[in-house]
Formats: sequence, structure tokens, C-alpha cells
Amino acid sequence: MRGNNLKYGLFLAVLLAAFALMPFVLSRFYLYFLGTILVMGLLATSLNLVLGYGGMYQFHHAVFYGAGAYAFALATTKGNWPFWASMALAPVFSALLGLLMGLITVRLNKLYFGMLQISLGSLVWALVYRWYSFTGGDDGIHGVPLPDWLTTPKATYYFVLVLVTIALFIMFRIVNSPFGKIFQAIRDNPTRSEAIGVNVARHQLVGLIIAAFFAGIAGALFVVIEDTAVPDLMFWNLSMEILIMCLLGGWFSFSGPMLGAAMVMGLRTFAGMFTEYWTLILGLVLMALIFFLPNGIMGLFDSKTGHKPAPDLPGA
Amino acid sequence: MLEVHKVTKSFGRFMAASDANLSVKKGSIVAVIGPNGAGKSTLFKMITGHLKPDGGTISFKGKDIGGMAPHDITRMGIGLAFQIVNIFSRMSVFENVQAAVLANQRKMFNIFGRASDMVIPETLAILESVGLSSKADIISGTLSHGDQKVLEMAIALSTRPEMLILDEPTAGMSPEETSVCIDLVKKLRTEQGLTILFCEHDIELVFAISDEIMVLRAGETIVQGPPEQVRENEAVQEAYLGGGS
Repeated sequence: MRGNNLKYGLFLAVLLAAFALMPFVLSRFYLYFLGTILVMGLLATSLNLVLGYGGMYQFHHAVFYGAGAYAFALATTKGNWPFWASMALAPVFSALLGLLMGLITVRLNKLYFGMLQISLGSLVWALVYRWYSFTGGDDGIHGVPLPDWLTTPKATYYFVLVLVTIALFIMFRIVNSPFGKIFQAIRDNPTRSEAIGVNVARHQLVGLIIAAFFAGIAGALFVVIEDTAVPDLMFWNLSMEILIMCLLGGWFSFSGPMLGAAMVMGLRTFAGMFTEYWTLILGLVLMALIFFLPNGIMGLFDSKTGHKPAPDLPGA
Repeated sequence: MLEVHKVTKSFGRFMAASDANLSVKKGSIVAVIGPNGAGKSTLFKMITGHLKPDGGTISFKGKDIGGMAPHDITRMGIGLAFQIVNIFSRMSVFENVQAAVLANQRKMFNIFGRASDMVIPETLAILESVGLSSKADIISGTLSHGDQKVLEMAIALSTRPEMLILDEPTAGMSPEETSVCIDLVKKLRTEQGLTILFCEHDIELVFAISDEIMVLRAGETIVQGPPEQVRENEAVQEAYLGGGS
């Protein structure tokens, strides 16, 4: 067990070192592209916190991403908040939105929970989309000022890399904490969880708030990369896309969603160069996946290495 | 310890419980029997908080628990092993029990500790007491039915209950598994002083291990008493044991 941990630690260190060296290898465009993958991967991982580990059908997670982006952009442009204050506001604001939406939705059954999340999320989107005087409406907010040290592509990339790494590390700790274990227990069997003394609704609410918090960080990082916040960030389209990332990469593994994000974004960028119908390819990949790898790419990897068994059990 | 007094519950026009009474003394093994549809499950569900009684009182250790939420009732000291196996099937046997111990110790909102390093001795002790130690690392969904029912009991025990409710503990078990299960129930009472309330179709088993038996018919308690008394009760013989034989 300890030896395994050492191996994983070493693997992660090498991986991190490789990421840290990227600015010296990659061109400006690919550095930017890698940064966006990291942000999208962080968002997908935060979704997977509730989806894969909590078993909650969170169908509209992008709302918290958009909320983080707008909180950061608005605090900076309208409120003239200092950079770090805006940066801190983003996740807190998203978490509060998560609390608000969670209070309404969390007691509902799986599918109804998902449906109501979509409706409430669309409501937030519509609000942002139409409120020209405050959010800029469908134009969004452009040219969000950033501190001088964060204006080069290299600095942006490193900033994103550091924050994403920290966020992933914390999420990993949460998943493996007692809170995370009980969350997984609820996923497997809510009735049983009640009968061991767990307040299921409250636990799910806290899970949703945590997931929203990290989505908010991803949202702020998007603005750091793009200088922009637009309503598309909280459109349900994006929610579906990150859902696909989780399924594709493997929603029962921690690193699956990050991998899925890289695959979907890679597909869009590179297949998109040749055809505008790149989603067709994505659809085919997804169909193949559902038939052959129901636990996603990481699920295959895990079963090959015998690392963590994730059997697809009926009635789970 | 547990007092159920004149409890009623109806679903639409159907009276599932019309006059259910039950008294469970500390440290005793009490069985509830009755024909199919007599309201045994309904009664148990009201005790565990999964159903809210329409009338009457249910008190545990002197406190009214009628209509309380299931997780609050669990925390008051009532452990529940379900009739249909209800375990965390994707998790290992060890993790199943560990999750319940963590919940019992109110560690569920600890978000940064490493769960895998926590409450290991407690978890192992519980697995040992039910005889599942050797299967600790198996994914619980792949266990045999009998072992899953034992795990079900182990999870219930992890909540450190004073009273354990077993809903048809031997349902679907082979004769060997049944005898293991009975020994386990007896052992829990003598070694841990647990109070046990259960319902069961296997009448021989009920008469063999119960201190008291409560007979339920059409939602109404006919009698509660020691096995001999219940066996001799005419109303019971008529209603349930198939006439005086």
C-alpha cells in the first residue's frame, strides 16, 4: 500500500514537473490551449464530485462556473475590487448560489433534482443574459483588468496551473475524507445511509456547495485566461459538455474528468480544424464508450491495473 | 425500553395498523409474528421513522419518537437491519462498516481527514464479532446472500445501537446460514447486552430464541407474552397457528 502511494507520488511529481516545463516547449497557442484544458478539467472534476461521488444528477453545473466568472469580472470592473479579493469572491459567490439552489432542489429525487437544477440554472442564465445595465447582457463583460504580473501568456499559464493543482489536491482530500466516504455511501444507498444516522439531504447540500465552490474557482480562472465573461459560460450546453467529459473520462475515478476534458477539447480543436461537424465524431466516440467502456477510459485503466475495482453492479 | 401504544396507520381506506401495542424490555429478544399483511412491516417502519404513525405513541427510552426522521432515530440508539439487503454494494465489506462507524462518531462532516486511516480498530472489532474479518476486502456486492445479510447486521451494529431491529433476518437464507445467523443473534444479546426486536416467518426459530412474542393480526395486537403463553393462547391458535394442534 505504502509502496503504491510512493509510486503515485512519484508519478504525480513527474507529471507536475512536465506541466511546469511546458511554457519552454509549447508555442503561445498551445500554452493557451493547455490552460483552458486545465480550467475545463477543474470544472469537470468539480461536477464529478457530486455526479460520480455523490450520485447526484447535477445536469446544470455550468451555472456555478458562470457565476464565478461573473463574480470575478463584476467585482473587478464595477466594484474596482483588488485582484485577490475578486479572486476570493468568485468561489464564495458560487458556493452561496449552490446553497440557494441546493436548498430548493436537494430533497428531490434523482431525476427531479436534475430537472429542477436545469430550470433554476436557466433562470440564472436568463437573468444574466438580459440584465444589460449590470451584467452587460448577451454582450458579456470584456477587457477585465488584471494585475500587470498576470498579463503574459506564461504567467497566466503558471497561475492557472498552480491554482488548479491546489484545487485538485483539496478535492482529492475531500473525496477521501470521512465526508467523501459517506457521500459515496449515500450514492450507493441513501436508505441505508439514513439508517446509519446520516442526514442525507444535509450531506448532499454540503456536497453541492463544495462542488459549486470549485466550479467558481474555474470560472474566475476562465476570466484570467480570456479577460472575458459571457453568458455562454452558464448555458446548459456547457453543462452537457462537462457531463460528457465526466462520462468519457470515467466518473468513478478522480482523474477521469480531467482526462475527459482533454479529450473533448482536443477533439473540438483538432477535428474542428477539418470539419465543423466535430460533434458527430464526439457522438460516435460517446456511443462506442457506452457500449464498450461503461466506466469510462479511467475505468478501463483501473481494471487493467487492478487499482480500484469499480464493478458495475445492478441495484447500486 | 420501547413502548408502542395504540398505534394506528392507514393507507387510504386500508388500516395497516389499527391497535398495535408492543413493549420491549431492555436486554430481551422480542419477536413480532403474524400472517402476511398483518402489518408487521408497517409497524417496524413506524418505529424506525420511515413511516409516520397516524395516532398512538411510540416511545424509546421514555422519549416520544413517533414521526422523527430515520437518521435521528438511529442516533437515539435503534439500529436497523433491513429485510431486503441494503448495503453499500460498490464498497468493500470493510468500508461498509467503516462508513457506519464514521457516521456514528459524527465524523461525516470532516472534510480533510483521511478516512482510510480512521476508526480501523473499531471497524475490525465489529467485523470480528460477526465473523466477517476474512472477507473485509471483498466488494460487498459480490458476497453471497447470507454474508450480505450478516454484513447488513454488522452495519446496523456499527451505529452502536442499544436496540437492534431485524426485519426477517433469515429470509432467503440456507439452513446453515440460518443457524449461523441465530447463533449470532444470541451472541449479540449475551455478549453485548443488546435488546433485539425482530420479525420472522420461521415460527420454530421464533419460539426457539424469543423471550417474548407479540402476535399481530390485521393491524391489531392479539397478545404479547412468553412463548408458552402465546402457544396456548386460543385466539392465536385460531388466527395463526392453524387451530389447536
